Amino acid sequence: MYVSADESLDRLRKEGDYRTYVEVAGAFNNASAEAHRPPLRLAWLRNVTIEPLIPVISGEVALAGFTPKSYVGHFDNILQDALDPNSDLYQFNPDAIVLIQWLEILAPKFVNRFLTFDREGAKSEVARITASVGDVVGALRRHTDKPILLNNFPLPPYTALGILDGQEVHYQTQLVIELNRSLMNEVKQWRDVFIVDYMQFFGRIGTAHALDPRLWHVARMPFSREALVPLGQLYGRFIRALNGVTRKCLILDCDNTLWGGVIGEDLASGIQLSDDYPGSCFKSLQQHALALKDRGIILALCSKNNEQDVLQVLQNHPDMLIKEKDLATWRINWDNKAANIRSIVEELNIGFDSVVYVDDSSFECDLVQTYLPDVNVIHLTGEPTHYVNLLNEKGGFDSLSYSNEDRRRTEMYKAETHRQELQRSADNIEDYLAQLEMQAEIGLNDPFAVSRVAQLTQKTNQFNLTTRRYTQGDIESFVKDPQVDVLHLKLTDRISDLGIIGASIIRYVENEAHIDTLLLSCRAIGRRIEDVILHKLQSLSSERGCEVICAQFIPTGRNQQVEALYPSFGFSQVGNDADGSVWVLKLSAAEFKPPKWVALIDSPSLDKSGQKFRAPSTKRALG
Amino acid sequence: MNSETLARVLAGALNINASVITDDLSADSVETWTSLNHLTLVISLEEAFDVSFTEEETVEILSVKSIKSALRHHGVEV
Repeated sequence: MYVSADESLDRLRKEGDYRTYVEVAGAFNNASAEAHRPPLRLAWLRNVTIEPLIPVISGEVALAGFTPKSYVGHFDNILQDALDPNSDLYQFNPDAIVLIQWLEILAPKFVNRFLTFDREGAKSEVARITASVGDVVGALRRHTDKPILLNNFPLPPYTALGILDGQEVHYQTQLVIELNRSLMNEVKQWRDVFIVDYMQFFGRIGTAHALDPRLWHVARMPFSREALVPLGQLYGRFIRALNGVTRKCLILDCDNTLWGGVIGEDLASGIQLSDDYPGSCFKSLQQHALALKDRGIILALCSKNNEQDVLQVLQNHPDMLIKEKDLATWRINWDNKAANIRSIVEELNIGFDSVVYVDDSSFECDLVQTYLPDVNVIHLTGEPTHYVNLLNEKGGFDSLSYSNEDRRRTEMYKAETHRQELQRSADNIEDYLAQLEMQAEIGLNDPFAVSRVAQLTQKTNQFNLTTRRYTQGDIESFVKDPQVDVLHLKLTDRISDLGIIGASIIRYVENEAHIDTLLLSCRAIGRRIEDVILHKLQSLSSERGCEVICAQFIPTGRNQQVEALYPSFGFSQVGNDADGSVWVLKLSAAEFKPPKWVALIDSPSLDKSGQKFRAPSTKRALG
Repeated sequence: MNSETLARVLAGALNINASVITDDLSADSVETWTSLNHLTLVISLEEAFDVSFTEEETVEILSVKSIKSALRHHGVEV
């Protein structure tokens, strides 16, 4: 019997060994793409044998929720594939392209006879290698705007000068570092080109362990058996981040997770939390959680305890690093944890698939995983000294951007909790919204917003009418396209600055305005900000002389809450297409009133040539 | 136990049905037993049985019979 795709994936979640990846790859090879698992097409261009890596990649793609499809270019045929617009590579129509180039093939002398270069010669060799990699990326970019991943180079395990090599910046090891930096700078000129950091990876795994001379000589494959799974998983992190499969929230248990021991039994003074073993393990875990918070992961607690006991520790324990201010929210009570996590998810307005839950109890972990299968449950097993590694390996928090919004996220979610308290005290929703003293600033085709707008299209799942994922390169070309407007919305209220939380992309086709994308970040949901955007869409379309606005709702299983958005604004359904329902609004009949509860500020906008065409107008309250 | 594991590994790496596996199966008789799948097979075998094949074995174990004999050589009863 062949193993079914689902069966093999279940096995892979439990045992991540190489042969299970191979089984998953085989099972998906035999299966056709299904609706709930759309295909993900990856093209691999390489100058070494990488085939044994492909099953691990296929498994990672499948774990991320896609049906893997791969194209592996002919051995060392990279430039031909990249240059010819009719090559097999472009015929394959990849969603992303991965380059794997090995330094020994690109520059054999640089690796094997380093001392035949003098100081200047070695420098120009670095420039030559950089340019040759750049040529490939440039050729690819002429024909495709899909994301490109390329590796840099591991540090040499052995060097021509032996221990002397460590003494000078122009010796071998330092020049590989320089080459890697030069490569990073070279690819900065293109959008959506990402370095897969082999220098870091092989440093972590260890070149002595991860490179196998036997497989190199027998099959021209540089990677050892032990390197294949972690290397494939590294690519898997890129695949997830590129496709918006990213965790945003870390929910932690308390006893034996944030500290050693149980406060109910050991009391606050008896728990293990200090600079010495074993308390130091838990302190490290807290450091790690705070480091995640620094890069935009929201933190929350979910613990079976008396709330007062835990808050006492948070406020008074001298070694407690995580404080109340670091937490977006918490559920400390005796209810079941699945229900508590569900309630946290509702409060923060995020999806279950953005949550990581960490607990030492296998009972709680099983319970949460059973009831909330989309949550990434990390079971802390074994010695506490390894807990931070477990979190690093299994977290899935990767993202390919880092913005000011990320830096301030916990504060923003925390403010959201305050807002919900305000909401409880307000009599009706409009009063409440008015109390928030919101100010919205709408920007149009702003190059400075490109990165954040792309990030929003990648990450937004709930309030997203079409869920089209775009790269920075995509958004940038929309911004330049005279037939497209890219709109973003910045929001502040009396509690905090939420940053850019809304975006829409409108394409003008003759006398029709098509809403390609309309989304709101989850932390702006429930404030009727959509009214502001639709009002703006209406005026933009009218100014363009459009007669109708056409819109689409594409259901994804996660955006039910906006299913009825268009009818609520007076759009009529005109049918269905392959993706979802199609809606139309006659502008002559439309009468959107700008919402009363938001003050609107026009931001200085740019026309397509980058010139300001509209002076920033003064703030005006509407209604 | 070991022969079950062996069948699972062969079926996975060569993408064949485990029920067709016999000692006589070889790279000549199985279309998917290509040089590249062979590499995947060798790596899967080494992982499953915790052995390291020699260079010669790596390139020569091109039939189920020779795989079994190489495994026995490394102390795996199969």
